[in-house]
Amino acid sequence: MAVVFSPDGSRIASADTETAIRVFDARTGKLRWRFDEMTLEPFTIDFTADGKFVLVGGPNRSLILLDASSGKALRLYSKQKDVVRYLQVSLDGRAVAVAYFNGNGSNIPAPVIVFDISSGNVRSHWMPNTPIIGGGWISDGRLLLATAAPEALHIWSLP
Amino acid sequence: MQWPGTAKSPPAGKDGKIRIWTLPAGQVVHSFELNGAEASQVLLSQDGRWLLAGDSKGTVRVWDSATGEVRFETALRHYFDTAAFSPDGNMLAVAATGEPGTDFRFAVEAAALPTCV
Repeated sequence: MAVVFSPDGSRIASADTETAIRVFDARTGKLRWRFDEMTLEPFTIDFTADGKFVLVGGPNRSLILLDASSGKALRLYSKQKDVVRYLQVSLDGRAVAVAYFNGNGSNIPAPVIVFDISSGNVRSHWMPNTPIIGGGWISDGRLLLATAAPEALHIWSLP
Repeated sequence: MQWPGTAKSPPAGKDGKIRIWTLPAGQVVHSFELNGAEASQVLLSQDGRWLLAGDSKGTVRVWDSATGEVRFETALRHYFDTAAFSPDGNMLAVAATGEPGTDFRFAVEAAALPTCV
């Protein structure tokens, strides 16, 4: 379950326990649209930087691009064998970083993949030795990622 | 940083307090009481002005991170799940869920936060 504001603050997108994606008007609360084609509860959602699209992912292992004004599905990114756990659109709006989760256990590493949003191409694919525990885009365009082993916290950067 | 380690990692200490430290000195600036509850999410607004904690009793509080004052508080009828601040820090969205198997599954409520004073 996740909730996020659009970059201009006018809309709220939610990914919820009824497996629906909903977009509301932030001021009036009015439902603008609802997307019901996720088969399992989605975990993570974000708007693109221009507010025109919504990206959503979850346990059905797919990452979907939706039109933020209509709720229509526009693109399905290449499906992985792991669950989409977290996603975050880059600050320039061109890429999305996706952290996957291995469904067999939280201590099993799963990849981080950076997709080009418009083409769907994979920009980076990185498999850490230990699971990802946090991260995000920083202002110089790099993606910082943290992994935790029993004895150490490591910070990594992807170009 | 946008990805929490786990969806429900309790970031508050076992003494039911959330603390703000200065960096790199590591001095505690403010300590926020959760009144015996356990925080299920702690969130800072993008500009750092607001600190939110949603707790296991369904209470959502927003503090002014500079003064330590509670500036917004609401008691949900259902379980707090997650929340988000608007990019300008003027609005808050809170998502609540119900018990599995009950009629109530999910709701999002939005609230306006106090404007700058």
